[in-house]
Amino acid sequence: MPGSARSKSTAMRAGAIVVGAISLIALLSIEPPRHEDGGARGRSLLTRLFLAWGPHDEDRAIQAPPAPPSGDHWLGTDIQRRDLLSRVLHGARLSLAVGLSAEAIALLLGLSLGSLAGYYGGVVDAALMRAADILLAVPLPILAMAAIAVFDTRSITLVFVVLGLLGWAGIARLVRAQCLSLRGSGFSEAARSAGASSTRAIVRHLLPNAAAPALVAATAGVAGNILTEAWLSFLGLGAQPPAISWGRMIVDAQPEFTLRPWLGIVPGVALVITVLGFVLLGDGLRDRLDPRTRIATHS
Amino acid sequence: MQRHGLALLILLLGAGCAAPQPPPADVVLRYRMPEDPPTLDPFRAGDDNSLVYIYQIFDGLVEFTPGTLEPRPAVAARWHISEDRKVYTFTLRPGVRFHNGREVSAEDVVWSLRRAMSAQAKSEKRGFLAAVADAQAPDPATVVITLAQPYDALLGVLASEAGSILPREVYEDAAEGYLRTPIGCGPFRLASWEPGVTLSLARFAQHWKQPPARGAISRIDVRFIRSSATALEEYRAGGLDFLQELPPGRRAQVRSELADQLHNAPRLAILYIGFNFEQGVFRDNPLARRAVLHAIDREFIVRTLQEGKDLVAAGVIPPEMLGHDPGRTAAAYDPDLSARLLAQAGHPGGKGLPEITYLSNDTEGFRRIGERIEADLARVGLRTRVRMTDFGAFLKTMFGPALAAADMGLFRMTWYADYPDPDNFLAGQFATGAQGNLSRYHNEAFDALMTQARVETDRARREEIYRQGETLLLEDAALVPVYWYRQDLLLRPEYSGMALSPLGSFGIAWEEVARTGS
Repeated sequence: MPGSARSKSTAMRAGAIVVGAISLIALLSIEPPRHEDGGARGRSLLTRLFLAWGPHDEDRAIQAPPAPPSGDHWLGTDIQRRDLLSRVLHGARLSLAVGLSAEAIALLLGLSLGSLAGYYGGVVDAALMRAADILLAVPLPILAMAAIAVFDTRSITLVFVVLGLLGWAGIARLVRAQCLSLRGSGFSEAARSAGASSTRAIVRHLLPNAAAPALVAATAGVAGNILTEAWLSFLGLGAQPPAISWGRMIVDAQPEFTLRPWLGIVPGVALVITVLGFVLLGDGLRDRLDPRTRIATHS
Repeated sequence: MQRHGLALLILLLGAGCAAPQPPPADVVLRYRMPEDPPTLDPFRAGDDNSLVYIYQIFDGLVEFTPGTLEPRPAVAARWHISEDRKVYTFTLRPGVRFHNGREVSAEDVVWSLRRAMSAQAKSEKRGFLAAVADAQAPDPATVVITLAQPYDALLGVLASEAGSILPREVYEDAAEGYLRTPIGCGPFRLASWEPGVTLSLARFAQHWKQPPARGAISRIDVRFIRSSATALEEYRAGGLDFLQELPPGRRAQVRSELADQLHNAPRLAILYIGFNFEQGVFRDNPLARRAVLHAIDREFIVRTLQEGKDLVAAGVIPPEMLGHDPGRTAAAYDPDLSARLLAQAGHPGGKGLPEITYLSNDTEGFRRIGERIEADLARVGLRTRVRMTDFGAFLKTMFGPALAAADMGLFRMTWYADYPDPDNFLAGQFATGAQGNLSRYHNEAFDALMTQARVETDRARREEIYRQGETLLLEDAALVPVYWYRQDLLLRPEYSGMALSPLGSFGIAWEEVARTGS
C-alpha cells in the first residue's frame, strides 16, 4: 500500500529530524569542564550563541520566583530564578547521554551474548537465554532502582551503566534468533566448510546479518532509557545538582503544579518529543531494514 | 535529636466528608496526623507522631505555662529549691487521679522517674536526667529529688515527656500492654485506636484541672492522612478543625484565603549547614568556613524556598529559649566578601580545593536547599557535589563512627530541642564528645564554658555564659545557621484560647481550648 508506506516514511523523517535536532542541541550544550583550580562555571556554545541566559544564571531582579513567561524569559523561570528555556534545552544533553551510552552498552552486550548463544547453542544458549528471561521478567526501572539501592550512591554514571548492563536481554534474543536462522543457511555453511574459525564466522558472517534488527531494537531502547532516567531522577535516584535533568525538573515542579503548571509542562513536553522522535525513527528503520517490508517501502 | 519523618507520598483519599455530627454537648476536635504513633511510651517517644498524644495523656509534676516555656505547678501544687540548688522538694496536689481511677501518690512519681532513668526500661530520656542522684518519697504527698550538681534545666525536663507520671501497676507489665492502652493522669485518655485509620482521645472527667466553662473539647478525633495536600483539601472542605503542616508551594495561597485561621508558631529547632571537623577542607580552616557562611543566601532560602514560614537564624539559640541574644544580626550574604575570605585562606576562586560533597537527606524542601547551596558556593568558586540520600542512610552516616571516612565536607542538619534549655541546644551539639556533636567539633574554650554554665546557679549569669558560648561558635564559624523553624497551623475560627507552644503543636494545651463560635 503506497499511501501507508509514504506516511511511514514521513513519520521516520520526522523522527530523524527530531533526533537530529535534539542531538545538535545536546552537542551545543556541552559546557567546558570547570577548571580543577576552581573558577566560574563554563558556558556552553548554545548559551553563547543563542540564549540570553545560561542554565545556571540567576535573574536576581526577580522578586517572587518562579516567574511566569515574559519577554525576558520566554518560558519563565524556576523557583531558583533560572531561565526555564535555557534549562530545558540544556537538559537534552543528559537525557541523550544516558539514553545513548546505556544503549551502546546494551547493544554491545546484546550482540555478543546473542550471537554466542545463537552460534554455539546448547548449554551456552540455555544459560544465556534463561538469564535474559530473568531480566525480561522484571521491569527495567525496578531493577535499576534495586541496583542503585545496593550501591548506595546516586550518580548518573551509575544510572547508565546499570541501564546498559541490564538492558541487553531483548537485543540478545533478537540476535540469537537471527543467528539461528542464518546458521542453517548456505553462506554460513560455506564459510565453515572453507575452514573459517568460529570467531570469524560470527564476526564476519553472522553479525552483519543480525545487526539490522538489533539496531532497530536499540533505537527504541534509547527512548526507553531516556524515560527510565527521567523516572529515576523523578524519584531522586538519578542526576544530582548541578546536573540538569528533565525528570528532576518535573519533580521540582510538582508542588507548584496547581498554580504554575508550565514548570512541569515544559520539561514534560521536551521529554515526550524526544522519546517520540526515537520511537518514530526506530519504527521507520524497522520498516526500511526488515526484508519483509522493504519492498513495500521502496516501491 | 533528629525528628524528621520521611514523607512518603501515598495519597490516601479522605473517606467522604465530615464525621457524623456529634450531639450538641460534645465538642470534637477533628485532627490530622500523617501516620500512626511509633510508640505511646513517654520515655521512648521521640517525634511529633508520638508526642502529640503523650502530652495529652500524661501529666508531670510541673507543666509549661501555655505559650511559654515557664514551668508552673501541675501534679505538684508547689515546690521548694534548696539554697545550693541541689535539692528539690515537691508537694503533690491532693486528689489527682490516673485514668484507671487510682489516686497518684509520691511513690508513683519516684517510680516513674526511676523508670525514665532506666536502661532496662529502654528509656531514651536517661540523658536528660543524668544530673539526678536520688529521688525519694518521704510521705505520700512529698517528692524529694536530689541532684549530684546544680542543674537548672531540671524543671523544664520534668515538664517535658520525660517527667510523665505513670501508674506502676500498669507499667510493670512484661507484655507491654500499656503500649496499646496507655494510662496517665493527663487531661485526655486514649479512647480508641484503629491503626492506620483513626485514634481518638476522650476528656478525662476527673482531671485535676478545671475545664473551660463553655465549649470545652470533649474529644480529639485523629485521622491518619498521609499526604499533606490531601489533608489541606479535607480542611478546606470542612472535615478537619486543626492542621499542622501545609503542603509545599501552597503557603501564599493559604495565607490569602484562610488568613484568619493561619497561625505561625515558633519551634525550638534550627536548620544549619554543618562542617566536617574530622577531616577535609574545613577542618582547620576558619577562613574557608567563614567564606561559606557569607556565600549562602539565607534570606532567599527563607523567603522563597521556605515561603516565608521560617525565620532567618542569626545565631544558634532560638528566640524562645534562655540565652537567645536578640541583639545578634545574621551574617551578611556577601559573595564578594566570601570570595575575599577564600583568597585569604589561600584558595582564590576555589583554587586548590577539591570538589566538596554536601550531604542531605532527600525531601522536596531539602532538595531545593541543596540546589541553592550548590549554586551559591559555585558563585564564589567552590565546587560542590550535592549528595541526597534516603533518611536511613543519612542518619547512618551522620551518627555512624565513620564520619572521617565518609566523603563529606558539608551537611545539612535539623536539631530539635529535646528539652527547652540551651544546655541541650549548645552543649548537646557542639561540646566535645556529645552524642549530638555530629560535626565532631572540638573547642576547649567552648567546652569549658558549657561545663561552667551547667553548674551556674544564677540564671542571669548562666544566660550570659551561653551567649558567650554561642559567640565563640559563630566567631569560629563552627556552623552556618540557616533558619529557626516555625510551624504553620490552621485552626477553625470558632475555637478560642489556643496558646501557641514553642515546643511545637504537640505542646498545645487542648484542655484549655474551647469552641465558642459555631
